[in-house]
Amino acid sequence: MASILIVEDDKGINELISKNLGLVGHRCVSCPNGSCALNVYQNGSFDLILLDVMLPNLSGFDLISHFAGTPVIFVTAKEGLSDRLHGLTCGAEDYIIKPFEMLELIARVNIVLRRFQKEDSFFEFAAVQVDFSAHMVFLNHTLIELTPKEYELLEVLIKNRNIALSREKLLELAWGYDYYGDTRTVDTHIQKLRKKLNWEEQIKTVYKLGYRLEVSA
Amino acid sequence: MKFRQKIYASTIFLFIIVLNLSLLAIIYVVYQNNLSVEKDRAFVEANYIADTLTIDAKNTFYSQPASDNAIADIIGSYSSVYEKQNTWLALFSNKIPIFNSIPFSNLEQKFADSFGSKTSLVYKQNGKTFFCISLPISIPILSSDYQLIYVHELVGLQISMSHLTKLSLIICVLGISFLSIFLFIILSRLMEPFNNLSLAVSDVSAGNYMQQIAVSGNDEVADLSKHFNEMSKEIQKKVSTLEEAQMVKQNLIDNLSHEMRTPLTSIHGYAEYLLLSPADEEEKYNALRYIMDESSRLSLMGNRLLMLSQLRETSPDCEEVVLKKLLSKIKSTLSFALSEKEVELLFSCTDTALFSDVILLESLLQNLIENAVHACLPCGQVKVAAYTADCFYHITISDNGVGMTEEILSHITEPFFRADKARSRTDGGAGIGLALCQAITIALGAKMKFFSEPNIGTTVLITFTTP
Repeated sequence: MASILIVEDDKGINELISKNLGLVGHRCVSCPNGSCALNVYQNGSFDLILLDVMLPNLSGFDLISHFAGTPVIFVTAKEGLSDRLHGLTCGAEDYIIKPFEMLELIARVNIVLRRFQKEDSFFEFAAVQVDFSAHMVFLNHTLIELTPKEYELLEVLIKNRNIALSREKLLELAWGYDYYGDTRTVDTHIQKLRKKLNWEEQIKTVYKLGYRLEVSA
Repeated sequence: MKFRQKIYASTIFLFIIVLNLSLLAIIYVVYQNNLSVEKDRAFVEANYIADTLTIDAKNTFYSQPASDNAIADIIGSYSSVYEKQNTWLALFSNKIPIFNSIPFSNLEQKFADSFGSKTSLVYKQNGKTFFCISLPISIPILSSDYQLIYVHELVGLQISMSHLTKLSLIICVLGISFLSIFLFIILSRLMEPFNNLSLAVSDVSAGNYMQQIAVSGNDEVADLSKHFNEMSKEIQKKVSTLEEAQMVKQNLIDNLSHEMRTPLTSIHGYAEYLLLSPADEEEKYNALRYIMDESSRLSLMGNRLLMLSQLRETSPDCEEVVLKKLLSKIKSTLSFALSEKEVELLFSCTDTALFSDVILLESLLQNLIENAVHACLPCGQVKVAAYTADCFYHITISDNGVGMTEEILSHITEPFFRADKARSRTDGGAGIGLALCQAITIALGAKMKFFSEPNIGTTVLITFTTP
């Protein structure tokens, strides 16, 4: 769970990003323009800043110099090569172009957080504790034996919690792009996880979409 | 370079030909002159010898018997003298030689047929030239046919000819060398402006259209340079115009792209959110609300763009318009926006009717009035007036809102132009409204003018050119 500042003048998109990141457990603060953002930034501490380029008065490119010390990702509709290069060379960690997929945004945010060691190393929910650095899982503080694939799958579910993931997507994220197996292996692994962690209610089957780990905020 | 080489080669070639031909002609003429002088001199001498021989024979025959031998002796005595002068003699009596000191043979054959008459010829042998005269003489007392042959080597002629030839050769060589060097230098000098011009032209064609060529002098090259500079300037102008047009077009595309992307991001994003996340009733409502609003926005923009492109083809459907009715309709359409911002909308219209297209007019006025309301601060005022002046129908829409600078005013009817560089959604649309208004006014045969001052307000004046 990281503290993220979102600077975007379009209210709809600002809220959209906030909601998306909130789903996977990040705490978000929204600002509609540069001056508000600078204010909020000075009075708080953030692990990551999502910055739009086309802002009223001060553009994102101008603002970034004020956020030294905190990683910044540009989120913008300006997709021209020169804009992208400018964004990346003036110190941003990444440059996301609108429109974007929810999973892509979350993945990129997580990558940057990991780069700056702001990622959570620990997760706890519904009597289950997971230590990411040690790759250990506990149920009521008792160590649970999981196969490597089961652990991978669990990690994917936690990192993308509250988002419905298709079997294909789970296969891709947990087994990798080179895996040409059947999606049924996803089902069997999900079953095993549910049993071992007592998470029958928590890992939900979503109609037509796949599986979702539902974690209340 | 090749042009210069061509000139160089042809000049030298011509020079060689002319020089050589001239020298040859001169040599020939001199030779002929000298030859004829020598011939004349030879004839005189030959005649003198003949006469002297006759007289000497006469004298000798007083004291000696006349015979061929006696004549031969006389001639023999002449011969030794004349030999020193490169002259040889031969005497024939009845075609039989009785004296011959000529240093080469077979001369008789040449003169054999012409014995008895006076003939001459030029004979060349071993690089030496001889002039031979054959004339009949009569010896007193003796009755045979005597023929004297006089041969003279044209030594002087030969010498002068060889001198002349050597001199010509030297002149030729010197002349050509001289010409080669100086022609080269002169041509280089003359070709320099051409080379400079050529370099400058290639520089310009590489893209440097601002480059101007130095013009010196008044000759053809200078003229060419001048014309070339003019051409460069024209090209530069054209290029600037094209670049500007390209930039405007690029801006248009960028803006259109942005205006489309932003609502799509919202629509796509919220739909995805609804699909994948466990949303409650409130969240569902909010998400769907956003989707609807952004869709409407896109729809409106699409309609406006379509109208903009179609206006060029449609002709207005004119009828009598009761402006007051139209304005009240607009007022009720905008009632929500008006009350929200507490902006007052006032009308003052003349009763004179306007003949125009109702639908287009409504679009136009609604757009402009909406902009005016947006520009107003809370409790602002928008005044719409319609009147006739100078036989023309005028409509003005004034507000006391934020106003615009001169700079912004010059661009407002460009499609997608937004005064707000960030294109923020809260107080503005996509920027097509005024482009559309401009197109409508043109289609209606009217003129639209904007007057504005920052923080004071804006006034739009529409003048209909048809009463």
